[in-house]
Amino acid sequence: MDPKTSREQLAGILLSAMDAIITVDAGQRIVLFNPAAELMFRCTAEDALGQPITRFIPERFREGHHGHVETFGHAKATNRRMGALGAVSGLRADGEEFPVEAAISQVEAGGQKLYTVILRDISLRKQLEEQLRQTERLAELGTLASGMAHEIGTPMNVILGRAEFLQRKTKDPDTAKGLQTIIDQVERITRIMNQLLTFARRRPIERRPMNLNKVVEETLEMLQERCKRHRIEVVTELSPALPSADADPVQISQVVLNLAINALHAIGDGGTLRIRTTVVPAKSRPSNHSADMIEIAVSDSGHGIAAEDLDKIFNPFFTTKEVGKGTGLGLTVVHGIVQEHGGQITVESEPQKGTTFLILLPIASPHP
Amino acid sequence: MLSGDGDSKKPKEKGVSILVADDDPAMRSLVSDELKDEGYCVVQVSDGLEVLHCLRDVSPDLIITDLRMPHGGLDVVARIKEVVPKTPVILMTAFGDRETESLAYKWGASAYFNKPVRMADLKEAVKNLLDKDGHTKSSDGGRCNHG
Repeated sequence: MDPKTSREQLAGILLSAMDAIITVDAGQRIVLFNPAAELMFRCTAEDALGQPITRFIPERFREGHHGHVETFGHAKATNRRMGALGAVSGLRADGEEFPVEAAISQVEAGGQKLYTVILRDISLRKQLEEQLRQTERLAELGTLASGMAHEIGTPMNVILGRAEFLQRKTKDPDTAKGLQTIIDQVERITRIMNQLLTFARRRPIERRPMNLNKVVEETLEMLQERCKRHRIEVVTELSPALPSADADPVQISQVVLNLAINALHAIGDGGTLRIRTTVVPAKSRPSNHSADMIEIAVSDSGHGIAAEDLDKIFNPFFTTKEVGKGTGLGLTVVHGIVQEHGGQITVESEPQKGTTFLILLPIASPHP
Repeated sequence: MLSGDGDSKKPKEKGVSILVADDDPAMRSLVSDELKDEGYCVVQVSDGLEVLHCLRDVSPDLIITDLRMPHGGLDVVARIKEVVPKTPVILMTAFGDRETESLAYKWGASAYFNKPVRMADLKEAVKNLLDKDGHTKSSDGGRCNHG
């Protein structure tokens, strides 16, 4: 093969590769940045060439990275997987950090040492793995809950019934009060069990084209009195041209109701509940998603969620509500339903300012 | 202080007998005490076989049965309905689901409750079912000898 053909072939490989290929010189400045790297790091080759590679590494890993490459440079090996002892993270030009799989190789060419890194964005895989773990955990929880419910239902009934029986017969107010506490506590356990079972027994989703605006309107109608009583203003911005969602109306109603009730709890007395529906075009979202989706945003002007709690709020039994007010399962149920629809749920919150839950749901494909 | 006879209720429906079936003695006794307090005669049994066996000797006006007990299940409801088709059956089960509820009605139950059931609700259902059915079945209070 003549050198020209060989060069063309190599260039073709670099251009068409799905993985990001970046070569740096001995000073760790970028000398090659292929199109996949441009996409992955959201940076043109023109901007990247000549820049230090550390620009694409989160700050906390930069120092370690220098050391690793130098050690590798002195080693006899010509290639190595990176991050064998831990995750490797990349940093996109817009500041987003993401997990990568990386391998590094070294060659001497034209009298200088070159290091080539091949990188694969594993954000989606990590996300799917996490979803799978979460699903498995919840399935186990569901099985456990169903089994437990059968076992504790009767004893709970006996405690509740006996307390009510004795309360009816006693004339002593202190005894009656004590019995009422027993009754209240059994009712509390019953609420927790019922919510857990709602999740555990959730039937498989039955998707059909559904009108999300209608679900919002129906939910708000149900909560109308309550909002009025607590001086909560309800503001809706429902897109009139909203396409149908490809979803299970019953389960999505449960999601909307749950989020709206949570919002009312967070507000307490006096505030604003805002619900918005809109279409989010695929291009305005991270690269791993290719279709437009419907977004529903439920916002409240309530007390907000502390930053350290944000990543726990979907975990079973996590609650910030006072004892007896929340089961810690409402958002677990919501999360499970959205995931099962192939949707996404995210939360933005600022303490004392409010919280917004954003849900993305797939759009129903138009009938032929 | 508890008072054993603080309730001044008088038996309202003397001679009306109710068969209570549950394998849990505490539950059985709770339901029985509540019903006796209302003036009903109660027969207690602890499994499905005993229900059917009992029906050879007793013709209760109403049957309250647990779903999950030895020789229980929906099948026992169907068999009860074969023997005493007009006797209302109230079915209870711990945290049952909607499917169980709809099957219960399909197999002949007249009312269905998920445990924990409020005794007031249970008694209300008993009252309604007996009102509905009147007092047409033979309800010999003297046979009330299993409880």
